[in-house]
Amino acid sequence: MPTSHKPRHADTKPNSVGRLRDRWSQLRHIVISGFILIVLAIAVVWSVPDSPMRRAAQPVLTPVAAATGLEQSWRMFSPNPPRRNSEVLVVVAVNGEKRTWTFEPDRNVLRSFHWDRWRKVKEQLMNSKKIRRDFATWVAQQLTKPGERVDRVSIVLFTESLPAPGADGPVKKNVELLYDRKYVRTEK
Amino acid sequence: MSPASTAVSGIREHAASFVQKWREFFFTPQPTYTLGLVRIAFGLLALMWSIEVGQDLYDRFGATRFVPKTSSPDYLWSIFQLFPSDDALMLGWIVLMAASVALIVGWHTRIAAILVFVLIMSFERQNPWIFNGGDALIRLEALFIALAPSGAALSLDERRRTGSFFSAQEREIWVLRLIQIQLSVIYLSTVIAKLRGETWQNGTAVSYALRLKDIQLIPVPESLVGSPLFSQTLTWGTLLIEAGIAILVWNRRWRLPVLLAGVVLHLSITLTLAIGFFSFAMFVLYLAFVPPERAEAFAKGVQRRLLSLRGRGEGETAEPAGFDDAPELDEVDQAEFGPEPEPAVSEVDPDEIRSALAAARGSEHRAGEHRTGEHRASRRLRVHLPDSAPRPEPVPDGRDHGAPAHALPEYPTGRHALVGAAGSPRLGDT
Repeated sequence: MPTSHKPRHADTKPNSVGRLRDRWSQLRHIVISGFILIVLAIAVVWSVPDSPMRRAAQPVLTPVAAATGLEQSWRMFSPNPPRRNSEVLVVVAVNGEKRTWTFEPDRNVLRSFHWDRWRKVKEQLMNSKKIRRDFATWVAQQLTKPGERVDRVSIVLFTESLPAPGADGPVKKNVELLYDRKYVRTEK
Repeated sequence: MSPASTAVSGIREHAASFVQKWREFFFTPQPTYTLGLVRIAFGLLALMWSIEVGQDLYDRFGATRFVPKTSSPDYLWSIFQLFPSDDALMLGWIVLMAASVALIVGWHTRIAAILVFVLIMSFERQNPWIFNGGDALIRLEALFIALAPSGAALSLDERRRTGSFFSAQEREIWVLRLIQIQLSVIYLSTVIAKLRGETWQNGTAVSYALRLKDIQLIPVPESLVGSPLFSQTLTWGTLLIEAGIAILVWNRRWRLPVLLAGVVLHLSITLTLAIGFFSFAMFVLYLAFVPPERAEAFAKGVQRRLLSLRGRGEGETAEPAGFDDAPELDEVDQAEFGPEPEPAVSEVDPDEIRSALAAARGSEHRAGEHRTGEHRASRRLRVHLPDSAPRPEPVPDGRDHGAPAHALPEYPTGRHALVGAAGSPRLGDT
């Protein structure tokens, strides 16, 4: 019956819109919940100590974690803070002359943000071989003028142990060669 | 009913209850004042971060940077890999600073937040060797802010929508929840990692950290850092505070005390150890725990203060009528003092207003809570005084109206700055 069809249609229209809205809201919540679970899984897997669970889950989650920047590590001063003071020296030999580069701490609170970047580079030089060659080359470029020829570049680490609080133990000093490269001169 | 079906229905009930709690926790709409505060604080942090990143820009990120220029590992991306020129680097840096400012004021917030995230990510991927945990946290916060409806409160976007910067929409708070959870994850994981170290167990860790010359800022006297009692108190106290925040921050009663303890902890770290932006990034996470009603009260307080200052300023400068937010002023006044009949322009004598203003100022000087009288008078003055009318003398209020430009630290840039400020090469024989 045409007369009954029209009002029924008019009545059902808002309901169907409402149902669609509910469906959309539910779907949205499901998608967001999935994303939340992934974020939480990455946070947990990257934060727990090394374990079979971590080793199994990390490769699966790495694409998402790396692409979104969600990978994380909160292990500052852990499991132990460094127990030695250290100094890194880059020595560049140019025409028989030795020129040096050191990282000198800046104790100004405002400038410390800038110093912290260089302190991090120093830490990386001490802990990772990957960066040493490029950094040594870069320092050599900084310490030479155009036309000067570099004979040798070395990175040297000096350390001095810290005694435990209240202890008067002997301070151990150590010198370690982190990187060394000689450039051979070719006569034309 | 069989035991099996009873068990199944029990599981269903538990599952339904869990889903309900999950939805309440993540998807309950709330006024977004808290999110607005978090966004503003993060915007300020992103601006500070970008100013620092701009130093030695080319040495750290450019074609001549000091790190290996091998291709990035899988899934790591940076727009500076697509545009590997120094010009692109400079442009990216300028855009990052501009987007950070836009984020602070909430101007086209979503676009600004996405730009900030993409550029922070790009800088960090361009030279990962110089960044620490604080920078990683800033990157995470940038992602969360970009995902959230960050412009839904305390923003120019809101002002465009509703006429008031200090308004807020009701939105689902799932991103805010992720920020809150991140705080617990950080503290829990750091406590677990520290508890595996012998120095944290025997209480000597803080003493070692405070004697590292690399990161010392304000040095702690040797008599203190050499004291086992002092060291144990600080070491175990740090663990207690971190564990306390991770767990008790979810308890409404304990939230404020543990967060205050955290503020004290991070402020002392910031003053004694050079660890970059970490403490400030943590404070941004702390703000996510401010209840929306508190955040709203704070925002409204700032609004009242700004209106009061503006009213005073307008009293001094006699702005002409037609201010774009005049209705907002009226709205606030009426809400605070009740409706007030506006006199017609012709009925108002400027001298009368000036004396009313002087009386109001006098009452303010006698009692701070009567400052509102000045507000009313100055508003009338703004609307009704002709430009040619003599201006009332400004009242020196002794307030800080913003630091002069020269008070800001000057950061050297370029290679020479690097040599002088950071690398400080000592030229000479070894």
